[in-house]
Amino acid sequence: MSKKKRSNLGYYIKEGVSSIFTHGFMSFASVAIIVACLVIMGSFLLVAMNINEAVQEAESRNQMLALIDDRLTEEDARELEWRILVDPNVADATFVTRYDALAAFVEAHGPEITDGLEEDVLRHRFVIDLEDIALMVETEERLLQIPGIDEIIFDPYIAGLFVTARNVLAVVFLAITAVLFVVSIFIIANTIKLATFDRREEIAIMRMVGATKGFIRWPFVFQGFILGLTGAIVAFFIQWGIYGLVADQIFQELTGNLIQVLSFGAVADFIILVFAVVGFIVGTLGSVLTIRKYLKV
Amino acid sequence: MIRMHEVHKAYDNGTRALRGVSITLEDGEFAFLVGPSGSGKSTIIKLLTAEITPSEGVVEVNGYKLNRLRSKKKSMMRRTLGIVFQDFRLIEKKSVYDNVAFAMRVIGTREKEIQKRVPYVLDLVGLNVDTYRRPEELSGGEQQRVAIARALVNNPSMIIADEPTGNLDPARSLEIMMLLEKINQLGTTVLVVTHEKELVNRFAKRVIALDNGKVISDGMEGYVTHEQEKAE
Repeated sequence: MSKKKRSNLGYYIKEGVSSIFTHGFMSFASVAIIVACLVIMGSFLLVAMNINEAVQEAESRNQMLALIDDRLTEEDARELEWRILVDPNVADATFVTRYDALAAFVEAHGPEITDGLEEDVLRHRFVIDLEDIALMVETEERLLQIPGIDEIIFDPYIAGLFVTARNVLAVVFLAITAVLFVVSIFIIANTIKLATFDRREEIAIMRMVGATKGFIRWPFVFQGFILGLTGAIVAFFIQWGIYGLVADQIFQELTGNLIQVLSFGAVADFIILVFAVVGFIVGTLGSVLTIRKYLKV
Repeated sequence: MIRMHEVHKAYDNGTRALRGVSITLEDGEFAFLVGPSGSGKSTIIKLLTAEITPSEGVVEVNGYKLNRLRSKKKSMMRRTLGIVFQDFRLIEKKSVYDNVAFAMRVIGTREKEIQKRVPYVLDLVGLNVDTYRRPEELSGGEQQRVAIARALVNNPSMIIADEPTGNLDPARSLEIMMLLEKINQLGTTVLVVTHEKELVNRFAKRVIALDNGKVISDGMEGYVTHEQEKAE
């Protein structure tokens, strides 16, 4: 008897969806747990993104000053700009004349403090923005090699604080994400385990009549995939609501707009992408890991 | 076709289930595999269906050498077999029709072909019930006919029946055995594992007797026990 093969995709999806409804409560529990994990993870992600934004903003204000040799004319001093800009860690360099520098100093501290001083008491300088403030010391060493640069002024302590804050944030975020990821996989795996346990006889019969492992596995993979993705979508909307509430109302009211928070719209694409990827991996991996042991026969 | 040559099987717990068993069953043959509990019948079934592998020796089924069979080939080998169990192993939530159709669906057969084949096979096994009923609504004999239909539906070259009459009364047992004989007459190789001496002796068929993991007799002389063998 000749047997024509059919495409199995429809069968896999139908069986996967059917199993979700057959084990309605566990499916609901799985989606709820995935949502909870994703929202917690998403909240940390959003806090981390906001702190990172604040750190970057603060970093951009943590500049270096390159003081120019007194013997150089203003024109010669300006010529140093291109030599500073070629440094790999220099993002920008702005020339400030000694007169403008004094004017700014007077404005900041009052005219009395400069009484009796010549108007050329300060040196010409460049205000330098860096790509990465963690590399301040190395950058200083390179800039001091440029003839005409006398001295570099910066505050390594403040720079160190920013770098530490950024690193701690990254570690904490990674640790929390890893824990939530494992918890989600565990829950999904249990749901699939229940579904496979309930259908173990069916699976045994499928193996006995010659169904391939892939054929048996795919409906469970689709089940996990659908649960994971559903969790991701629900979590996205809940996250949106929570973030809107916290960011737009509590933050703004408490701080009187002193803290600038990112709008959800600005990060929505990234958040849905992260949720979808994590939901997909958690759902699919959870089912693949569980079904393996039932396919050994 | 079955070819077992000097097969030994020892389980991890140290039990030596088979001790040098050699059996050959040609295409189109009918044979009973008999023996008391613990004689090694179940181990032979597991070897023939590739659930386990032999510790020593060679096992070949329908052209597949089972000693080291990859997963994909194992599936292909099983498609050449129809297996019937003592406890029927029907899926309770599926109808009679779907239980049989299921065996075709899981190997990727088109629905149109399933719709033609399933009624034909149900008719072949003599099942005259509403095919949309659930297994629990059928008698034991009817359930076993459904199980045989499922085993036959993919047109296997061999049927292995593991104690197919173990849960049936004598009249139904005889009917099932006659059905298996009819299937054999249509060209399918049949191996029936049983310990029902009276039933076996009603059919003039080849009987392979096992005891303590060894073949103690193989021929047309009916069910031979260890005691008879020793007496001779």
